Amino acid sequence: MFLKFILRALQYRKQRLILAFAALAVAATLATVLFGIYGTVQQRFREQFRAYGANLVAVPANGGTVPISIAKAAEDLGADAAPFLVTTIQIGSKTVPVAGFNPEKTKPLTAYWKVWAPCMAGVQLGLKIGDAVAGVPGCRIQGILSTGGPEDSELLVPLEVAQNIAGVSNAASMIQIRAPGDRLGAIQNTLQTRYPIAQFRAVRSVADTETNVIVKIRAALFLLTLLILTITTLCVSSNFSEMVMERAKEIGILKALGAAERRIAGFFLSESAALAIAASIVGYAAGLLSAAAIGQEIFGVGFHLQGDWFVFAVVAIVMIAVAAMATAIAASRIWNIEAAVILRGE
Amino acid sequence: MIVRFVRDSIGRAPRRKALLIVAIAMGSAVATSMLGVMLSIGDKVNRELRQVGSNIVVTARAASVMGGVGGDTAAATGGAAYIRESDIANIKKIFWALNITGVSPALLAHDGSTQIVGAHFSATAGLQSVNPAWVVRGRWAREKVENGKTPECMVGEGVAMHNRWKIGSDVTLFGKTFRVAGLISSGDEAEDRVFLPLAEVQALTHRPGVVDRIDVAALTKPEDDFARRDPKSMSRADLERWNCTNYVISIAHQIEEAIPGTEARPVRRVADSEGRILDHVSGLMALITLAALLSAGLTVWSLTATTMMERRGEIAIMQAIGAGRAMVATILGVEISLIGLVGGLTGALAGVWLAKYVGQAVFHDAIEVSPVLPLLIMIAAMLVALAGAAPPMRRALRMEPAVILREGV
Repeated sequence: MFLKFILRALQYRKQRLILAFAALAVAATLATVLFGIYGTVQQRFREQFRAYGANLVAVPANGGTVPISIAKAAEDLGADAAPFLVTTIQIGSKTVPVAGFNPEKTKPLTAYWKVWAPCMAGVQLGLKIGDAVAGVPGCRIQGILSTGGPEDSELLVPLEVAQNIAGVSNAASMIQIRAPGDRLGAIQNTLQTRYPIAQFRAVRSVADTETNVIVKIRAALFLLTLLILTITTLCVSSNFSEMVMERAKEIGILKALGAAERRIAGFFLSESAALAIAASIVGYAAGLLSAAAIGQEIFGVGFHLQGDWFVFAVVAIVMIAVAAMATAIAASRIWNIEAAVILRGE
Repeated sequence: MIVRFVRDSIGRAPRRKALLIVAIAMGSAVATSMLGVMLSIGDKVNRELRQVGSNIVVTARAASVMGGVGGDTAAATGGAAYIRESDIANIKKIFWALNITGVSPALLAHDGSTQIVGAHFSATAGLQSVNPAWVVRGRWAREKVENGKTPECMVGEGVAMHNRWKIGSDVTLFGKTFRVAGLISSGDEAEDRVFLPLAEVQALTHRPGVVDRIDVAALTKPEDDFARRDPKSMSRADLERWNCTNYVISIAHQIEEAIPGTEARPVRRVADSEGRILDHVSGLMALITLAALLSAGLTVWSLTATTMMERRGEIAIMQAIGAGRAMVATILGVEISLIGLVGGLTGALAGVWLAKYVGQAVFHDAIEVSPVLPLLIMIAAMLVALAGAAPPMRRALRMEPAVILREGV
C-alpha cells in the first residue's frame, strides 16, 4: 500500500516532481563538480608552477664545483635535476661566460627557453646563427636565445664541451633541482645530509610564491564552494517545503479517511528521500562528466573520469538530509491541519 | 486597479511570497558574489605572483656581461655602458605607471672575489620592492647614516658563511668599513652578493650618477596572440590598443621609449609562467561561475514555475469573472517582476558583501564590485523569474476556466 501510494503520487504529479528532481539534481551536480575541482586543484596548479623552473639549487659550499652525482640522487627522490657548468672563454678582447648544460635534463626546468639547440648564443652577444666560435671546437651557433635572464649574455654549449674548456669532469658549478612543491623541505634535508660538500638553497621566490598562491586559490575555492552549496541547498529545501504546503487538500482527504499523521508524514518523507537518491545518482554522474570536461578544458589533462565513493556518499547524504529536513519541517504542519476546514475550501 | 490586485495578492499569502523572494535573493547572492570574485581574482593572484620578483629587466644597449642560468648568475661582470640614475624616475611616468609595483636600480662591482651590488634598501623603491620573498635576518640596512657612524650594508647568507661574517660585524670593502645590518636568504645568486648603498658604490668605484641595470616589477595581463605581434607592423589603431594593454612586452616597450639608449626585456621565466598560471586561474573561475550562474538561474526558474502552476485556480477564477487574458497576464506579470526585483536587489547586495568577505578572508584585501553588477543581477533575476512563470501561466490561460475549476487544482 505504502509503495503503491508513492508510485501513484509520482505518476499523477509528474511535472511537479520533475521540477523538484531537476533542482535537486543540479545541486548534486554542482556539489560533485566543486568537490572534484577542490580535490585536484592543488595538484593541477603545482604542475603549472613547474614553469618557474628550479625551486632548489645546489652550489659549492666552499667555492669550486659540486659532484654531478647530486643530480642523479635528486632524481631518485622524485625531482627533476639539471647540472650546469659555468666557465669563461676569451673571444678577442672580451671575456664571454660559457654555460654547459645537458639538453635532455634541462628541458623540464627551462620551459621559457623558446629556442632549443645544443649550441646557442645569448641575444646580447651579438652572434648570428651559423657563426663559429673560436675557443669552442666544433660549435656552430644554431640558435639565438632571448630570455631576459642571465642566459642572454652567455654562450650555451653541451655540458661535456664546457667541462673540456674548464678542464674538469663529473663536476658542475650548480645543479638546479625542481622538487615537487609539497616535498621540497624533505628533499632539501635529505640531499644536504648526504652531500655536505654542497650547499642546498631553496629558491624562496619560487617556493614561497607557489605555496602562497596555491593556499589562496584553495581557500577561495573552499569559501565559494561552501557559499554555493549552502545557498543551493537552501533553495532546494524551499522547493521541498512548497511540495508539502501545496498538498494541504490531499492531506485533508487522507486525514478524513482516517490516516494517522505519522503515516502521512512517512509518505512525504519517503517520497522526498526517493527523489533525493535518484537526484544524487544522476547529479553525481553529471558532475563527474562536467569535472572531467573542466579538467580537460582548463588544464588539458585529458578526459579522465575519476569516481570517488566518498564524494558520492557525501553528496547523497547531504541531498537526502536536505530533502528530508525540508520535508519534515513542512510536514510538522500536518498535525495542525483540520480536515474539515481544508476540505470546505478555506 | 492592477496596483490594488498586486498589493492584495502579495498581502494575502505573505509566506509563499516570502519564500519565493528568499529563494530569488539567494540565487542572486550566489551570482553576484561569484561574478565579483571571478572578475577580480586575476588581479589578486597577479599581485601574489609579484612575489616571484621582477618581470622586466632594463639594461643599457651595450650592456654589462653576466653569466648564469635562470635566476642564478655565476660569473663576473664587465662592459662599460650605463643608465643615468636621473632617468630612472621616467619609469614612473609611463602610461602604465600605476601597474609598476617595484623598481630597483643596481650598480655591480667586485672587490677581489667579493661580488658587490649597489642598490636602494627602502621598502618602496629598492631591493625590497622587487624581491618581497627574500627573508632577512637582522634588519634592512639604512642607506644614510649620521656623520661619524659606520655606514651599513646587507650581506647574502652564502658570502657571510664563507667569510664568517655575522650581524654587526665590520667588513672592509674598497678600503671602507661597513657594518652588516642584516643577512639575506633568497636561494638565488643574491646569497653570494654584498649589497651596499648605491651612492657608496658609485663613489667608491668612481662612477657617479649611473647604474648598470634596473629591475622592474609590473602587474601585467597574460600574453595572447595579439601581444606577440610586432608593434612595427601594426596599424595605428592596433598599435594604440597594444600600447594601452598592460602586456609585459608593451610595458617594456614603453620603458625603452621613456629611457633612451636602454633595452627593456621581459624576464621570460617569470612572465611566461605568470601568464600560464593567471590564464588557468581565470579559466577555472569562469567555468565555476558559469556553473553557479546556471544553477542559480535554474533554481529560481523552477521555483517560480512551481508557484505559478499552483495558481491555476486563481487564474481560472479571474477569467471566470471576466478578466481578459491580457489583464490576468499583466497582473501576474507585474507581481512576479516585483518579487524578482525585490529578491534580486536584496540578493545582489548580500552578494556584494559576500564577495568582499571572500576577498578579505583569502587575500586580505577587499574585492571591489562595480555598482553596475548588482543592477544587472537584479534585472536578470526579474527576467529569469518571468521566464519561469510564463509557460505555466500561458498553459493555464489557454485552458477553459470551467475545466480547471471543476476538477479542482
